[in-house]
Parts: sequence; structure tokens; C-alpha cells
Amino acid sequence: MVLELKNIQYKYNVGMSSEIEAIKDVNLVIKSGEFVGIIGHTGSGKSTLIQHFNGLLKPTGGEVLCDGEDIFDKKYDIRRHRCNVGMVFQYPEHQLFESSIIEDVCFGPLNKGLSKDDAYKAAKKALSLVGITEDLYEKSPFELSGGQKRRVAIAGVLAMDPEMLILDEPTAGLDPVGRDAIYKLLTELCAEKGIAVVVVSHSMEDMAKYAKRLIVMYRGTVLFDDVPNEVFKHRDELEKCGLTVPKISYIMDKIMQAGVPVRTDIINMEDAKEELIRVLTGFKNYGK
Amino acid sequence: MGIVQTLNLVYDYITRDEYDNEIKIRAIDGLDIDVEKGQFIVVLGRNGSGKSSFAKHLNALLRPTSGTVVINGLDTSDKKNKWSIRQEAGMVFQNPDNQLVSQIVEDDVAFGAENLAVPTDEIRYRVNKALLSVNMTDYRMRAVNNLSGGQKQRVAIAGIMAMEPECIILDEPTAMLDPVGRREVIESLRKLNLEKGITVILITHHMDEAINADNIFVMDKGKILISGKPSKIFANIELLKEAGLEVPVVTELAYELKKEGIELPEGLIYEDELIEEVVKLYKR
Repeated sequence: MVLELKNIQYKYNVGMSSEIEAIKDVNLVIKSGEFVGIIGHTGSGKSTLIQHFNGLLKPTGGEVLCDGEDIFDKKYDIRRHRCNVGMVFQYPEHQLFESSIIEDVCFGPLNKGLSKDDAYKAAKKALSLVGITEDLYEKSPFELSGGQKRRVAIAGVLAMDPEMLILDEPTAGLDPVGRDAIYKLLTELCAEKGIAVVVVSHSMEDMAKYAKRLIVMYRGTVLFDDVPNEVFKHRDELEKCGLTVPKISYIMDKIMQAGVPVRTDIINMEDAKEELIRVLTGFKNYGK
Repeated sequence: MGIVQTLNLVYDYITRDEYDNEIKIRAIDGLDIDVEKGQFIVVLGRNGSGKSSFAKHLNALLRPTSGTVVINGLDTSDKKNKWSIRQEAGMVFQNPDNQLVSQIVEDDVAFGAENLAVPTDEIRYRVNKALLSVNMTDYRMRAVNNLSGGQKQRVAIAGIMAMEPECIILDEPTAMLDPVGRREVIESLRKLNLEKGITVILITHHMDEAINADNIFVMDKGKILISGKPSKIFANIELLKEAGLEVPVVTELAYELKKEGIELPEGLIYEDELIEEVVKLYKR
């Protein structure tokens, strides 16, 4: 699957005094198997942008193409497209509503037109992917912990068998264990099933660790679109648009400024550790 | 006695299983906490550890099943105290959009004080002061819905400040914010604590927000797992990991380096400490 945004522009409140251009001429191509992070300060256009991916918003200019076809063309089956591009909103557990977990996850597949049996099979598969075991199926989703509820909500989208999964801050409010579990799941879905994963996040640390490609939104435009290592080299620009680099990068920078010659393009714990060991022990061995 | 004190606090809530049998779930299981006036307290703990239930006891949104909660000398079990307690202990929640009530910033900040029947002139004075204390004076006539998340949270904090409480309790106030918004909120809280002596009780999943606390309580299964100064808490890396938590970036880096045989002292939590130690090792 190739999703292409061509010269996308989106204006809210067109023709009114409050008209505002939330997205200005954005061009993007996202392919199967990619793990894409989107960062940007509040109001930079992240949420508006991702709502174009499955046609929840129709651009006021430009087009959205899926495998070369315009998704807003009258002949295009946009309903199928929305099953194919699954959207997990912020706090998706607030959208759980059925009396049992299994029924909640079956809701999507049934609406897609699957038979009861097939919907059950799809739900079962999705729940096992997110690590919810069968003994929980008949429980009310409201009896689960925050992290579990969120995984059930994600299963509800996975049960539609999407080729692309878009998640708006999927780990907000989760503890570190819950957060790592969600990212592990997303990484697996991406690597093993070839699902394109697009995550909007405010955590530079998580993006440095998990994203393979990082898009920086600023005032409705794409400011950077590159691998995280390269993006985080633009520290001053990122800070000017309300973002930061991972904490570990600041620490390495200060260590360098204090006179220890370490690399400062480091964005995760493992690399920082290796670099410090190299510099500290390497120097000692040299002395011997 | 401190400003916030709990004595053997227990809280049970009732849920029902598929056969409609009542099941009692113990959210808080014998909690003894004593917070001195003017302290900056951080509460850590995994989802479901009882942090939010604890927070809701501090302004009488929940009342103990057994044990007592006393806020500035007022027992929360006594229903007569409800409104006085809510004036003493203000609460800020995770989602800024769920707790702002007015269209315009200054109206929103005035809302709580208005409901306490504070005279108009006094409200004006308090609103000015509150907006200044969170650095939002320039936004007083703005529409609330055009603010960023961090700005909204600071308006929510100002609304509480205008009620002149002794204590502010915040339940993951930065979970939905971008990095700058998060920094703005934490800096405002530190300023209120240092300059106005407001007692702050901050619940968070961000370990880096905890390193400057006077005291940290780590909760697990409705109990206090460990409490103390940040340097003591974060020296217990294995225990914290068992409790589903992590440690600040500096501490983790120091811990990883130590495991590889680099000689660093225990319990490093501040950047400057780590940098100093690394420089020492390098120069040796």
C-alpha cells in the first residue's frame, strides 16, 4: 500500500473571519512496512494532517492518493479505505462501549460486513496480537486496567485487518510498562505483518527509540522528514518550534562542553553508554 | 501535624462480576502519609496502583472506607467540611479540555473564587495575581479554546490559585502536553511552591519531573512501596523496575555505565553530578 498526499491544503472555517489554514501544501508518501513518527507542538497541524490519511477530512486543496487512486473520487470505495487505514484516536479506551471485550472488538468487523463467525475469528486474532487472553473475552472492558483497555481499543481497529495504522498519542497516561508494551506491539505489527505504522507523539525519547522515520510539523508544513538521527541534529530549529531533542542528547552535549570529547549526535541510551565507555576506558587503556 | 495527613487510609470500591455478584476491590490499602506545609511532593506508581484514588481523597471527592484523611486540620469524613476542604486543596486533572468552564481566560480563572462568593474587587485582584503567578497575564482576554495544552493547564492552575488554597494536587497534568507545555507547567508549579509556599502534590509518570521533589512516594497495590528523597528513591533501580516504573535518564545512564565497570557513585540523579563524575574519570 502506498498512501500519497499531494499538495494538501486544509482550511478551517472557510469564508469566515476565523478562517485559518491548518495545513499548507504538504507532500508525503507513506508505504507499507514503514514506522513513521510525527512530532510537532500543540496546534502545529499533526491531528489535522493524520485525519486526511483515511479521509475523515477532505482537503480544501490537493489530493490524497491510495495506490495511485484519488480517495475522494466518487467511484472510489472510501468505506473500504477507512477499514484499510485504521485510526486510533487519543484515549481510544473512551470509545469502548460494549458489555464484553469480545463484542466490542467484533463491532468493527461486523460493520465491515463479515459474518458472525468471521468477525469472531478476526476479533480473536486481533486480541491475541495485543496480548489479551481468552479468559478475559467475556469481561466488561471497563474492568480492565488503563493499559489493557487501550490494547483492547487498538484490537478493535486491528480486527478490521488494516494495512496502515495511525495512532494519536497512543501511550499518553500509561505507565512505563504499559508504554513499552504498546510500542513493542507496534514494532512487531510493522516488522512482521508489514503494516505501516504512523504514531503522533510528544515524547522525543520514544520517537528516537522506535520511529524509523520522523516527520516534524510546524505551522501546517513539514519542517523535517528524515531518519530520527538526522532530524535531531537540528536542535536549534526544533527548540524554536516548541520541541526538544531527547534528554540524553542534551546530557551528551553538556559532557562534551565540559571537555570530554564524546559524540553529540546520540539520541538513545545504548549509543550513549557505548560512546562513554569508548571514551572513558579507551583513554585509560591508552594511558597504560 | 502536616497539612495533608492520612492515617491507615483504606478505600474499597464495589464492582460486579458476570453473575452480578458484588466484588470488593481494595484500591487503597492502609496508607499513612504526612505532608508538611510548603513541600513539593511527587507520587509515582504504575497504572492501577491507587495514585488517583489517593488524590481524590485529598479534596473529598472520595471518602475513606476506613481510616482518616485530614487536610489542614479538617477531617474529610465530616460532610460539613467538604467545601472548606475543596478551598484548601485544589485539584488539576490530566485533560485540560475537561476542566475549563468559560470562554475567556480571566472568566475561567475567576470561576472558583466567584463560587466562594468572594467580593468582585477582591476577585479582580486575585485573578491578576493568579495569572501573573503562572505567567499568563498577557492572555487574560483570550479565548480559552485557542490556547495550547500547556497554557490551558496553567489557566486551570490559576483558577485554583484564585481560590487561595494551601495545597494543589495534580493528577498527571502533563500527560497530554508537548515538551514545551510540560516544561511550562512544571516551572509554574515550582515557582508557586518556592515563592508562595503552596504545597504541591504531583502525580506523574515522568521520572524527570520528580528529581527536584522534597519527597517522593512510590505507590504499588494501594500501599506505599518506598518513600523518601529523590536520591534515595532512584538508588533503588531494581525495586522501581519491579513496581513497573523507571528512573530518570541520568540515573539510568549512570546505572548502565556502572554495570559495565565504570566507577560511578550510587544514586546519581542530577545532570551536573553525572557530568562532574565523567569529567573526573576522563581526566584521571
